[in-house]
Amino acid sequence: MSQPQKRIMILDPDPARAERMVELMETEDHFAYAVEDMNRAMQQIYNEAPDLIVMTALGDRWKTFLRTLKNDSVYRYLPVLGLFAEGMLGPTTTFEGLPIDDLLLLPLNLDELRLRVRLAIVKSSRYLDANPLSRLPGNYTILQTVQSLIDNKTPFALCYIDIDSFKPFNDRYGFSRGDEIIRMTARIMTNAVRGSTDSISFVGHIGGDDFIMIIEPQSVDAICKQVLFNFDMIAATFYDDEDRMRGYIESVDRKGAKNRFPLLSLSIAAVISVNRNFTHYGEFSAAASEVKKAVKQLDGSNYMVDRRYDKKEGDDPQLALVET
Amino acid sequence: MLLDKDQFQKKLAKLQNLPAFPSILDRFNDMVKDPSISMSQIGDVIGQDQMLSLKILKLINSAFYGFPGRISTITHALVLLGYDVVKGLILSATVFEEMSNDWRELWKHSLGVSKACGLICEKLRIPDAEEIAMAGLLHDIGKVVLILEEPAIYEKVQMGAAKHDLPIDLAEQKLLGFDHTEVALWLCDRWHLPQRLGVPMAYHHHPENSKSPQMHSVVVFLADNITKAVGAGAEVNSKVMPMPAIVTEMLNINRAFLEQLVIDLERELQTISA
Repeated sequence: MSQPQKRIMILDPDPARAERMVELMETEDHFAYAVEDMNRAMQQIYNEAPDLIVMTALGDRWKTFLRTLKNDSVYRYLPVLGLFAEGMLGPTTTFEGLPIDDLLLLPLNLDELRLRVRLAIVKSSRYLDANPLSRLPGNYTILQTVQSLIDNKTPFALCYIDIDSFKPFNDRYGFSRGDEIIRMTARIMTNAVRGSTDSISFVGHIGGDDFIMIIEPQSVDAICKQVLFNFDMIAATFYDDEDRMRGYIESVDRKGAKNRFPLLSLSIAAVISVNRNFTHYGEFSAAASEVKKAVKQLDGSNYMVDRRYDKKEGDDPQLALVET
Repeated sequence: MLLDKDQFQKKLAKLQNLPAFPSILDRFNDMVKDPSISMSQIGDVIGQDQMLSLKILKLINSAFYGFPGRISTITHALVLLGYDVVKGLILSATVFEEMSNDWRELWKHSLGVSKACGLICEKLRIPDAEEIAMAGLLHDIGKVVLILEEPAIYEKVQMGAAKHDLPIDLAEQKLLGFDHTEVALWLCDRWHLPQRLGVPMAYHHHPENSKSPQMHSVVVFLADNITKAVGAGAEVNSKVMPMPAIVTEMLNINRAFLEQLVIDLERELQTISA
């Protein structure tokens, strides 16, 4: 599949220099455009955020601009490459007040510039969407991954994973041990998916105790079974002996009544792309939520595959399978 | 004292390269090439090498993975680390150039204790068999590290024990000021290994004083002594220790049970030396 061109914004108050930068940066993969003043830069960013900002102007006003941008949780992930003339930086320069992601020194080496640009863009998509707890990619990457599979008509299964009885576990043992469960679950899924030789294998962290796996439809049974088995096996070791032997957690609610909660388990809801006519991620997510409600009704760890099937107009779903 | 406690602890803190036995590495390399080999089969092979097992438990319990002190079995560690990481870890292990007789005896003893733990748990239906067997495999890791790091000094300790007919831990205490169970505890602390492994390693001589899980310490104690009784002690002059009352009480066993255990363990050990 052809990648869309990455957009590079060049911030430089000097129009002639900016023009030269645009010429240098423009490649088959990269579309570069120059912006000379701050207001237009803001406008452009809010209108359609670039994939990379290259800044040659690093005076105090621009630094403030950059800090404001990077303080926003959404734009924090936008990589910024700073270009510095000789003499602007010294061995004692610090970057606490200058939130750039990489730097290049003038005069530019053209090859190095292009490599750095490519690296900065990849790095941001690789790391910056990662969930800090599980280090798995987050919603932005999930969305992009699903959308590109839809756009390419590649059959896939979207599995929603949710930890049952997670809240009582957290209440009983504290959030730190809850975090351990999140990391443990993330590892189990990653290794189950990676262990297959399939070409589609993705694990993401939606947030909290919700995860996603994107896998090949024929692997759903094997991978889900493996994940559930391993989770049940290992989750048991995160309890104190007393609770583990008893098989449930006891807690006292606000009214002082004693409640019993079952031990942690996992619910997985799977939706298969070729069965449905969905064209965007939201539809998958809605269908999966419905299945998740059903699977969560069951005791213990379970997975359930959405068996609903959309009739397709003209487009034979079997063909879609064969095409890939 | 032949060793300074603080100095030795500092040395342990820097301990990086735990060597593995060549035979295990060769087998692992063959297994890696074979796609039909499962994770649990690889786990069985790893579970025969103290150093590889320790390496793997050390990594999965490190702060990097985010659940220190939780994972005590190789099966769980393999699931969480994943095949690629384990492969890398094992392929990067340093190989012993040669295995001295001391080493071979100690390795056979440790493996024997691990098997004995498994047998006891199976016969008495004690839960957490794999965890207890791992504690059995690692129970003498303090000795291993002492031989590894201070071979000349530890030889003196062993000679001293033989000369004065002392149990090895008493000789260690006399000559070093600490014994191998303490060394094991330092390692467990340092590497965030679970208490459930550290406790039986520390109390395998005195299960009557053990903290929870006391059952683990009791099983490792019995396994250690049964293994010595069938002639697979760690040292030439290994002695079977008197059995504290807690062992028979907690396990609810009699003489006939012990006799059968000896027979079964001997059979298991024959497959090891082969």
